[in-house]
Amino acid sequence: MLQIRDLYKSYGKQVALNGVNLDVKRGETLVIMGPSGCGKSTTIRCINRLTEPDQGSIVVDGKAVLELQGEALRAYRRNVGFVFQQFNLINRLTVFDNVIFHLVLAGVERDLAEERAEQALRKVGMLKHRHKKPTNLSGGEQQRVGIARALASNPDLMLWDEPTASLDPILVGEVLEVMEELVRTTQTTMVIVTHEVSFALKVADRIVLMDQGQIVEAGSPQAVFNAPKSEIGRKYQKLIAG
Amino acid sequence: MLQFFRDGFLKDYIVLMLVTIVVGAIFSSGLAWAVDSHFGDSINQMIGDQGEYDLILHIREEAKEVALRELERIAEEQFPGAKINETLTVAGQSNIFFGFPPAAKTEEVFVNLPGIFNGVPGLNGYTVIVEPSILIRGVHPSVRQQLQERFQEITGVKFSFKDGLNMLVVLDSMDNSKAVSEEIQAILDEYQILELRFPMGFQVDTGQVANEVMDLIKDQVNPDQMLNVSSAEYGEELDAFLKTLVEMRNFLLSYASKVRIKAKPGFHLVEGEQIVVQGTGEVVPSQDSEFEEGLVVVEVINVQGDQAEGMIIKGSISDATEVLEQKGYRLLSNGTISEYLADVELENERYYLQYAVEESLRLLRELDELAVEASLAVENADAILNSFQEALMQLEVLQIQLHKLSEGLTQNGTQSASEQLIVSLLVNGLVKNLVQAGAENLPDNSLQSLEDLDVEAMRSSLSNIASQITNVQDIDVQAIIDQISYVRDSLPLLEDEDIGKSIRLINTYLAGQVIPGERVQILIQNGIIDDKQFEAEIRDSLDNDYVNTYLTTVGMINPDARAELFKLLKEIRATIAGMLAVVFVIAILILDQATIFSTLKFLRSTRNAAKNKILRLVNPAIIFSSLIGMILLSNIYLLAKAEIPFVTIEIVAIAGLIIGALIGGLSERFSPVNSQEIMAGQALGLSNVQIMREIVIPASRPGLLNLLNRAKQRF
Ligand SMILES: Nc1ncnc2c1ncn2[C@@H]1O[C@H](COP(=O)(O)OP(=O)(O)OP(=O)(O)O)[C@@H](O)[C@H]1O
Ligand SMILES: [Mg+2]
Repeated sequence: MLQIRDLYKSYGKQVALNGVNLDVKRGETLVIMGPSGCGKSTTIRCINRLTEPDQGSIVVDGKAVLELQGEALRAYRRNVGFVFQQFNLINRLTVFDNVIFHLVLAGVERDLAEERAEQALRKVGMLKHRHKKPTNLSGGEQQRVGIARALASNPDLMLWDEPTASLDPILVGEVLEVMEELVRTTQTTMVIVTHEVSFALKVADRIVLMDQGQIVEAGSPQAVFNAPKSEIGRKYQKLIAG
Repeated sequence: MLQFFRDGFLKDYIVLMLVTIVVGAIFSSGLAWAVDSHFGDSINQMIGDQGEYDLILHIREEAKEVALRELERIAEEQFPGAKINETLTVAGQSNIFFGFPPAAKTEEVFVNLPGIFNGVPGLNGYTVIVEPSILIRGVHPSVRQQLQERFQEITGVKFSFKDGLNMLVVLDSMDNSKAVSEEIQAILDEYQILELRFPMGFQVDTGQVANEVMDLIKDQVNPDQMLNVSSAEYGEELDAFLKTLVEMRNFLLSYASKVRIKAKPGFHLVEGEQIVVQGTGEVVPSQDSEFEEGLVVVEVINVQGDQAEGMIIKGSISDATEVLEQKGYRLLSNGTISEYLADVELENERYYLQYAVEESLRLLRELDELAVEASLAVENADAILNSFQEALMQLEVLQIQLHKLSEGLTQNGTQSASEQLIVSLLVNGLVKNLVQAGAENLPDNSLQSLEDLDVEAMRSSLSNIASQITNVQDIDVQAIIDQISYVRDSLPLLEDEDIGKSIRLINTYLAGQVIPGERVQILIQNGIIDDKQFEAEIRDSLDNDYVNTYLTTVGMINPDARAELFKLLKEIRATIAGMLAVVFVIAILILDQATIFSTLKFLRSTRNAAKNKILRLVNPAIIFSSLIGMILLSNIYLLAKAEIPFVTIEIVAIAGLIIGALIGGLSERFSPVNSQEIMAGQALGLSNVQIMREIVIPASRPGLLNLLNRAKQRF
């Protein structure tokens, strides 16, 4: 469902992406791993155009994503759920409004929107906090609201940019639990950037390793970690073994 | 960047701009107006409503209380209904506003202002603010009278009067002030002063130069309409001085010995010619002899046919007790005595005066003693009555003498002033050291009180002397005696020669020969003169390359003070409005627009670097902020009718541009964007306008933007 070809991106002299090629099948859960600064976030942001690549093409369901403009782009984005590392909730709005507002603004009937929001919040276990403001929630709770917000629009594709990286270790578990549950119960295509190796092993259909703006290894978790071909892969192998 | 506005935010933004401009204009001009009306009110409070007050009296602070009491008395006694308002005290000077009751706003009153208020203690002067009026500044003294007469004829003019060097034309009502001032201007325009200025140090015979000038321009200007007004230019002080000199001369003439000259047949008397007579001395003049000391020299004045008057300029006949009739010989300039040309009659009038003075003194002393005695022995009334009558009769003689003495001085109605002058003249030895030091502190008005002694009343009350006697005692007879004694003592010291010399001296002054004339002024009516061309001609004619010529007006209409004040206020208002516009624009750029600038800058940063090099260097967001700053400031400035002195609208626009650029550049400091929230909005498929309305603006500082957004905001 997703094809990325020859994606390049540089910030001035700093090259972030140096020819990324990637294919994701419908319903697949893909985990992208790699050292800090290797271009994981940049790649995943390019997919929903939060970052504009310099070159290359991205095709989702046959649509050339990089050519989308205006309402077409927005409609595409509404169909792609994005979970941020920093949660990126609207602090001004309550939990419930955070989950519903984009639906309503997109023109979804209020009743339907509420139903979907409640459903999403229930799924992440946050319905009881619906009237709270994000600032009154723990990091894990905030991220669960972030997940609910992405879920509420029933996306075909969900992009996760290190959803647990900003959480303290105690809270990481509750979020990973929610994520595992989602992967298990939905057919949504997922592209997940994470450093959580065991989580990756558990949920990933396929793992992609990146280094210096390029994909250096791709395959099933077993293939990647048991018989790594890249240096990064070997480092991960040691990590698992150790 | 245009894309940012395209999906609907442009409409919001245009509304914001319009509202900002209107609110900014209302804010700037409204606040400025409030400040203005506050000042206006306090000015009105201070200077009263139009026409409420007529003058401001400047009073020394410490005399304020007394002055106020005196003013209240003046108001009560002379101008019932007058308004008095004590206002500011600045630098030791209190300012008291005085308004005459409507009925008293007359020419008579305003002409007499000095007389009315001179007695106010601590008075440092006054400023006339009578309204409605037109003030004409620097009215040339030579045309003042003429102008006053002409102004009087203008309809709408109540009267006009002189106030120092200025002239005030009081109007019937404010309504026709424009028409009247136009007419006044037209009259002023008829006159011009052609002025010649010589560098310092040039001694100029002003009369001669003036004649030459008038001769030069007689083709351009009708000779009837030219007048040499050179001396008048010296102003009030000199005017007064000249008047004093004239009075002094009159006094001296009346006091000098009378000389009547009758030419012998075949001889002609010439003014200024000198004639020798014997006088009261031993030496007898004769033809072809040398002039000797002791002889008396008479200068011929006032020739009428074969008769003339004379003035003793050398020698004296002060000891003559009767009229002298003597032969007069011509005195040549080399000092030889020439032919016998006239019969001369000399009469020493001081003798009579002296006699009268002596007699008066004697009787006054008696009167003094009598008064004392009388109070002790009223029953002796008969004898006293007789003596008293005698004394009074003698006093009358003295009074007549004194009147005669001052007759020559009274033309100008300044009797008391001239008497004071005489006394000080006599005392201070202006003519000669008449009296020795120590006599300075002579009471000034004793002579006056002597003269004011109502002889008739006293005579009629003689029958009732017992009750009247205290009146006599009330008079400080001793002071009068002292004063007359001084006069008596001075009389013999004042020689004919001294008098003559003084008169000659005064005459030369009055003839204008000695007054240094660096300026010559010619008043021209209805003439057109090219002063530069004229300058060349007069330089040529006088053979003097240093003389400069100018054409000046005879007076300038001064804009109405109150109108000026309010004009100034209006300027202040416009300036305040201008400054408020700047303040408002800065505030609104920081409160409202910075949010937008920051958002624009953030959105740009998520995009690819522009292909265009210039756009890569210059952030379009800052170009945008500069333009917004310019649009806001210049529009608010114009709409608020702001006007900062020397600041054109171009400068205002540039200022707006700079302010906009600065705030655009620093926008994140004033209004940081929450990039995470914006990114969430983008990721959730919100349009720019939705991101602005639901995410950016609600989180920004309260301001117009925030306020206007409320209606649009859904969450
Ligand atoms: N907005 C930006 N401006 C400049 N450089 C950037 C920007 N975003 C990313 N980079 C650079 O691009 C490179 C790739 O960044 P990216 O965020 O994709 O790395 P990452 O793999 O997500 O790393 P991490 O695990 O730390 O999140 C890095 O070297 C980073 O410094
Ligand atoms: Mg990252």
